[in-house]
Amino acid sequence: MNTGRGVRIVFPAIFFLIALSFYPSYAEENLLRVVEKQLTRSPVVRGEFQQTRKLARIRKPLISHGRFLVAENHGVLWENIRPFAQVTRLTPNEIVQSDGKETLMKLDANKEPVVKIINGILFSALSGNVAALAQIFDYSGAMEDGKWRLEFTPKEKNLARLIGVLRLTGGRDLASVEMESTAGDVTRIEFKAQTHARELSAEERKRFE
Amino acid sequence: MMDEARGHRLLACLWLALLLFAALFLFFQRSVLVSRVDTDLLALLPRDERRPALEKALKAFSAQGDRQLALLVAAEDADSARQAARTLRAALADSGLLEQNGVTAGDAFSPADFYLPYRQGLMSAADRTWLLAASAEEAQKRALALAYAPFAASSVPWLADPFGFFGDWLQSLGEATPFRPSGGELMLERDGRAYAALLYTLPGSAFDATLQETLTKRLDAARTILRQTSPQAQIIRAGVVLHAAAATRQAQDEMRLIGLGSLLGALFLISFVFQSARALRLIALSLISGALIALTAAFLLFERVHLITLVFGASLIGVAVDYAILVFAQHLGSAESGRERFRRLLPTLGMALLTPALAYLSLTLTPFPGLKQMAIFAVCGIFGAWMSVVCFYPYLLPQTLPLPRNTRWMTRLLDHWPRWRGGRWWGIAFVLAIFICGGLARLRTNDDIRSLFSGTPDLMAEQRQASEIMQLPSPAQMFLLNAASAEDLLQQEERLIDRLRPLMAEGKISGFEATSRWLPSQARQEENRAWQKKLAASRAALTRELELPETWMEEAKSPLLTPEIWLDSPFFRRHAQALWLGETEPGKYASIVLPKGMQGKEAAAALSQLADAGIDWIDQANDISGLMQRYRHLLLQTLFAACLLLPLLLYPFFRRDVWRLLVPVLLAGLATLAVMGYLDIPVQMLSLLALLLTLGMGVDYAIFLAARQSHAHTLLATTLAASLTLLSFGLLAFSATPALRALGVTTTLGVTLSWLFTPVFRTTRR
Repeated sequence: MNTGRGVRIVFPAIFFLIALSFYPSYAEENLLRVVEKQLTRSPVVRGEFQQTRKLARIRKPLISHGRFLVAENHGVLWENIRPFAQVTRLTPNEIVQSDGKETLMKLDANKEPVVKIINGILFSALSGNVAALAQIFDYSGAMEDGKWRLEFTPKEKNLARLIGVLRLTGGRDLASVEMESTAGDVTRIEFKAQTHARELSAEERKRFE
Repeated sequence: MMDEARGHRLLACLWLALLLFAALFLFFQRSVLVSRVDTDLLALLPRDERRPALEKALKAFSAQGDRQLALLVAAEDADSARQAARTLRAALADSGLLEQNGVTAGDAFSPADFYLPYRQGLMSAADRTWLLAASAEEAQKRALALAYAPFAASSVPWLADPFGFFGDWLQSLGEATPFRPSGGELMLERDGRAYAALLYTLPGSAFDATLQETLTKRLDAARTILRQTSPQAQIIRAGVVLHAAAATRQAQDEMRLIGLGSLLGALFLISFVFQSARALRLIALSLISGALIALTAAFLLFERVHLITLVFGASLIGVAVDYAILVFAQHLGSAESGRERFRRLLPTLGMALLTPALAYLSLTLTPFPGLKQMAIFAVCGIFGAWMSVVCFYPYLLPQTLPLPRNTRWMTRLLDHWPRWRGGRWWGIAFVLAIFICGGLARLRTNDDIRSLFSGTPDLMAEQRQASEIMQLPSPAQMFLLNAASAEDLLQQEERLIDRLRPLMAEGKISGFEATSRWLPSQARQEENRAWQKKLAASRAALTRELELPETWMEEAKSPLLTPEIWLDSPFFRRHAQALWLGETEPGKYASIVLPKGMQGKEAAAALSQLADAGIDWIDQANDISGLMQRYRHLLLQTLFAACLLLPLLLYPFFRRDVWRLLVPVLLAGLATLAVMGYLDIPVQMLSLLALLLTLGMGVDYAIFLAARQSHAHTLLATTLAASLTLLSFGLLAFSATPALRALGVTTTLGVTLSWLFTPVFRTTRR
């Protein structure tokens, strides 16, 4: 199954790369614009996710489910429900992980500038801001029947140490995000039941504070 | 009589030979000698004689730091900053500067790759605290959270670092610098501006005047290029070499100003008063001899001659010219033969050499290497000028020297000069005493070394800005650690850092730089590994729950990171080469721990409390200021001693009239201090030194006047001498180096007052 998906992604990608070599800038820019046009982007997106992590040298995939919330100017709330409850909050200045009661981990962007970069990438990926990603990644992709896929590879070596490849698929909504780390861990997140809103609810706003 | 003449002739020949030697030496060695001129202001400062090993270590440390040059390029956004940084780098490509950014090297060799094999022994302070308190369940939860986390902030695979300790430790390395490599540059964003850093090491000493000059030119050219290509980008520079270059330029300008000013002033005054080309030539001969002897002696006796010595030396012209002037003044309009008159003047001349020479030699008592050099330079200079007067003048003096018309009024000056007669003079004395007491009461002292060496304000502001942005530690405040082995030293550092952390939590300091951040001691690594043993249960649970391969527990056993491995790595060169002094003596290891972002004086006080056996807290500015204070007291005692000794020394020559010599000089000294009190100029070690010099010169004037010669001409001589001294030291008072300014101001005041007071106490004409 795994190999099958690999072939399915790699094959069009290669095909697309060949196509790209003929119409370099035109094709690239066009694709990005088409994807942007296709995607429904709104200030607040809520939805559910299923995450499958394949860690290097571990056979068993780690599957988790939960809810997420992406809000412009605020950040991301990543709420794991199964197999255990855990909330990860990404704001421009920090990453905070808590189990609902106490803080498990906190990364401060002022102390660790990399946090800012990671948050920016994740926020762009989860909110489908492909144009922002294109600034720090090289990308390729394809579009077929209103479904698109994009593959991003970091332009910079330092970033490439954290993220090997970033793959996004979707149509009107973002369907999946896949991250392959250089270390060999692969995280695939599938989204469903997305809803769009213009503003955060008061309760949500509070959770970002 | 004949023997005496022959002896004198021999002496004159020897002296002439010595002068010729000096001239040839200076001429043929000139290019080598120029390179031996030092511009390091700190070289003038005292070394603490009580702690030689420490001084040696500090010297090694600062030698490293002195060669660093940092250029920050600030722009509105990261791309423009990077672009500008590239332009700047290209413009400096073949300047000889060695780039230390390490971005390119770091690309091929990341800390994560280097440290991965040793990860088990590497834990951050926060994780150590956590692990001590954590239960097996909590540890398991932590590992699971990381396994299920959608994104890892670490580039290490989860299985290699399931609890994230290594990742956290790697992250803690980031505290060492706020810069992160990005797009091939070291970047930092702050307050909405992007900064790119270019870090360089100089190819030579920061105090090499030639290097300073070429570097300044290259930097200026690079800045011009940048202004054209990226007009909105701003460069912020930091580095000792910039200050040193500015100081050199300033000292050279001042040397020219003071030297030329004094020389032209002297020539003008002499031509005006004596109106004799021969007198001018002879006085010039005496001055040149002084300069030759002083320069030769300085270069022969000292490995490096400081530029400030030369600046100070330029002001000596006004002192060295005194002897020649005295001789000519006595000679003016006299019918007696030159040689006869000269012979009678010899004792006076001898004493006039002795007192200032003693005053200058007392400078060698101070711990300031710079002052010692100045003192020796000065003594040799005035001795050289004096010797030429004594050796050559008997042969070269014109038979007679007519008194020029426009000089006559000067010779009558003394007739109108007020003279102490008791009576209503006691009233004046009373007023003067009140004036002096009032001034002395206002007098304050200041031993702060920073007030002596202020850099160029613009450069200082730039340096401050750069230090703040780059979070550079203060180079003059640090811990110096000593131990018997590298391992002991690292453990020592760790103990100190454990005690620094509470201060960081309180916000007194923002961080620290230390070798053990990059290389934990073997003991600490062992301890971390031992502590992680308690995680065995959690590991076993994880193995079951996540169906981990059975072998992973075995694989986790990693070797220890040893100093040998680490010292060989690029991380050592990039991050800790300056801090790790290594084996300074057989069986003695030393390193430096630098606190960063110190907040105010309390922080320094709190840090100084951490000093312990093998841990010295060094606050160089404070230490030197303390030393300045000690020596200010010492000089005050010397001054008192001089005041007591002088009467004894002079009594055999002047008997009952000794008071006439001493009272004006003492009055001048006290009045100088009083004026400084009124003008709110603080007294510090150098002003006392200047007073000591003034004492020497003041006594000289008194000796000239008291020597039973024609008073009229002597006053002319002292007036001339005083005005030339004033010219030199007065020019020194305009120096931008506060240390020289302090010397200049005090000497100017002291000499003026001595010159005013001395004739008041003259004897009646016989």
